[in-house]
Amino acid sequence: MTSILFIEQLLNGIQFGTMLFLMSAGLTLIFGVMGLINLAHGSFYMIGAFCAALVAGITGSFWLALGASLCGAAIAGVLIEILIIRRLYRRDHLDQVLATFALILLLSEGVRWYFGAFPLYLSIPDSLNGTVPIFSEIIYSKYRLFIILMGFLIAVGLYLLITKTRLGIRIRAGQNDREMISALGVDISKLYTVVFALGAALAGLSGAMIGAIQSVEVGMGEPILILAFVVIVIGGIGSIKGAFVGSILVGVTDTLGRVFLPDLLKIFMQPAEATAIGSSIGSMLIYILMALILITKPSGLFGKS
Amino acid sequence: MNNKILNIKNLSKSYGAFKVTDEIAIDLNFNEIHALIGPNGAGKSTLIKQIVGSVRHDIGSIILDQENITDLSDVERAKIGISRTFQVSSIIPSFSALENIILSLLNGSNKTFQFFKNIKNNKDLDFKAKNILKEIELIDKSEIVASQLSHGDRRKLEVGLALATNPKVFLFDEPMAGLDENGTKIMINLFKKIKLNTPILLIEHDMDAVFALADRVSVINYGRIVATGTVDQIKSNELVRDVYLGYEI
Amino acid sequence: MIIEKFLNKWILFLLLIIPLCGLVFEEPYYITLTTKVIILAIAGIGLNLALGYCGLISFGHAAFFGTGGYVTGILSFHALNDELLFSWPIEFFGTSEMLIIWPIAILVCAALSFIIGLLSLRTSGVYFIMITLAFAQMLYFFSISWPTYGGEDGLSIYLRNSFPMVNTMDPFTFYLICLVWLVIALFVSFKLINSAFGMAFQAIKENEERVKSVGIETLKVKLIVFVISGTIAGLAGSLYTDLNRFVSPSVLDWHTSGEIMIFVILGGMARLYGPIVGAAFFIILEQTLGAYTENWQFWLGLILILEILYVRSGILGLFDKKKNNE
Repeated sequence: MTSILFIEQLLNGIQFGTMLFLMSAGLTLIFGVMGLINLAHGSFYMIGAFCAALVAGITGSFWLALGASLCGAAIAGVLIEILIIRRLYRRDHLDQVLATFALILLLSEGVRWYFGAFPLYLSIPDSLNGTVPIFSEIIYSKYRLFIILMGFLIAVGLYLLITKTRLGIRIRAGQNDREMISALGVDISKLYTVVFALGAALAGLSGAMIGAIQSVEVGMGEPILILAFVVIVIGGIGSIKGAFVGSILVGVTDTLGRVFLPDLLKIFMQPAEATAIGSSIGSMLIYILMALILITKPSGLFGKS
Repeated sequence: MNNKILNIKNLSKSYGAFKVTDEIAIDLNFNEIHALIGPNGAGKSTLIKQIVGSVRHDIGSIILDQENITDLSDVERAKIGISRTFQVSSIIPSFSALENIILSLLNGSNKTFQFFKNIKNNKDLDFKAKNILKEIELIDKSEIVASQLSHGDRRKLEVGLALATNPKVFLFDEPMAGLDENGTKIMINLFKKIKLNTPILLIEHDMDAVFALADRVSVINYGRIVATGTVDQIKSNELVRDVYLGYEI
Repeated sequence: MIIEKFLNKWILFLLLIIPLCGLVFEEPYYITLTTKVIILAIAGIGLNLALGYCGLISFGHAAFFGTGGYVTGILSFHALNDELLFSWPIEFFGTSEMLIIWPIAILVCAALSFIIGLLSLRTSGVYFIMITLAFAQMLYFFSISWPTYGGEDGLSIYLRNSFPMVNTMDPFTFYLICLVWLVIALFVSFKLINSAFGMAFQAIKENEERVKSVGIETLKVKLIVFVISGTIAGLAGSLYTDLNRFVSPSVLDWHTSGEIMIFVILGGMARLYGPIVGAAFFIILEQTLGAYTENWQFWLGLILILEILYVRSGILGLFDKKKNNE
């Protein structure tokens, strides 16, 4: 019984991790290439989810909604990059933190203004509803499995994009040496816009996919944004590989910790106490993990020191 | 052996297959200026960084005044008495020349962790700092903010900051870089005065200055010391001529 | 510079005159509002030491502000319910005496900022920003999931904690208590930045490598600044709980960290009175915009972005052309 529960929760953790990866991949790319800390990345997650909910409401199609989340977040990304973000690349981290923090206020409030304060709902298509047996005894949600699959597909896609395509070569060049890449005659401001839009689109997509199992509301991007920061700090800022490893690590640790820590503590504690303490510590677990990693490796698992 | 204040043995550091310093042995006697010359990228600045401890070497030992400092951190080495200047002027831009020097005096006078006494009223520090400003001929500009100083004056201030820590040895990293004739002359006179009390390891590209000042010269190339000797010995060394092919010696 | 000094006097004058008017015209709302400005300004003064003067971009000062707030709330909660807080080494039932609460809050926040500082200062740059943020979030989630003190709903203490001889429930009295703390915080900051130690931490902001090379232990200096900074913010948090007679996880939220940062930046970094101007401006903006539109945060965001993109030096900086040109 417990082993089934364990595998189920492990899958939940991986599912959570893959969504974190979509968020943190963009975040870490944007930092790696442009040197920008983008707190407003969570806003694209929210924008993606709202675009999806809007399109799903009109057309009734989940797949069109997913497409809309990609496009909507990308378009928002391009606009914001051109209007505001590109003025921040040369600024110090403090200015970037503040300006993007202000951007969160502006975007969250803007969305609330337009859509109202009530959460929207995005429903899972029938084809992904229900469960599917894996192995013999384990039954798992089709939709969550779909998320895991999408996450891995996108990870592979990103890997191919970065290692095999011309855009990828430019991105890697930009990560290593910003001066060189402009010397090579690459239109750097266009490259920056593309990278920013790519990051925004990934965040938007994950917002839409999560929006279907939770709800679509203002501020939904913030908790996951902070987790994405934890991920890239653990993985090493600028490293996509680090973002992937970090995402799965954080997703699994967080999910398993919250579920099993209270049970674990019940072995040598009063049940009520164990539940309280277990869930408190469970919610802090990833931060403790991060602190431990940074103490041993101050620039993350795969970061350049 | 006992007249060696700084003794570096077998110092090596490599990044992957690339050896930035390769079994370097160099020492510094009391009352001498030991110049280190070599082409760009030969490993001079990396050697300085290893001696002050901001870059960790892989193997080798550094002995300062009979004490093995190989395992000490950069701050600890600075406290014990290694003082450096930077190739590119490294000062506190918003502090005045006087404040820059006072900052440098803090540690030596155990004032760093004084929290409530107004530093501007400290006559003792003010007096000491002004003496140093006189020595580096910057006393007229003591109130000028460092970022507003000319390049030459910043080079002087850089040396002044090193002086203020009252160290056992000085490591000067191209102190004459970008100085005009007059500036160089001031530096040469200053260094001659300094070496009477404290030895100097001098990295410098200005060969006239090196030959005017140095008691000994070492030549570094590809991370290795290829020759050490007096100015005359170095001038006549053929290996050195090869390193400096096309360079007027 | 002269205009800035003139402005500083005006700010203090306004902080005195507005509550007095409120007292005379029996509008306690303005007294409370000024008290809020003062408390937030104290938090800003704390952060300004680390951020403005020492260049430590802490994005987690809510951890200290909130902990100060919760320490106050918890002590008072236990005293109110006469419930045992701990039994070793002595039996302690909490307290509602400000004179006991303050030292405890200061000690707890100092210890917390020491631990967080010790761990965070191993990193630098973006990592420092993120790790301070993460520590604050850790406490935030802890406060939400810990049910004893209200969890997500927060903790009400009903009555303001007491101070000998006076009635703290009177808004003007409480305002005066906070004003005294503001003056103390200003005085401590002023003394620090003009001391030898202050010279060292201001130099670190500009060129840490140089400061190391003259033999100053920069890590120790930064840690002490961080602890003082966090402790001042924690004290502000303690007063904030008393102001609202309520504390909830929102004081530990990262928005709080961001807002304290905004006070410092809006007013002008590394200016003694900057955080007061910043906090006052923020509250005025909140009140005036809030009166016209529910979506005032939209406009706040816009104003902030414009400030960061085009003004850069903060409000006080507008009046100080000399520093502007640097």
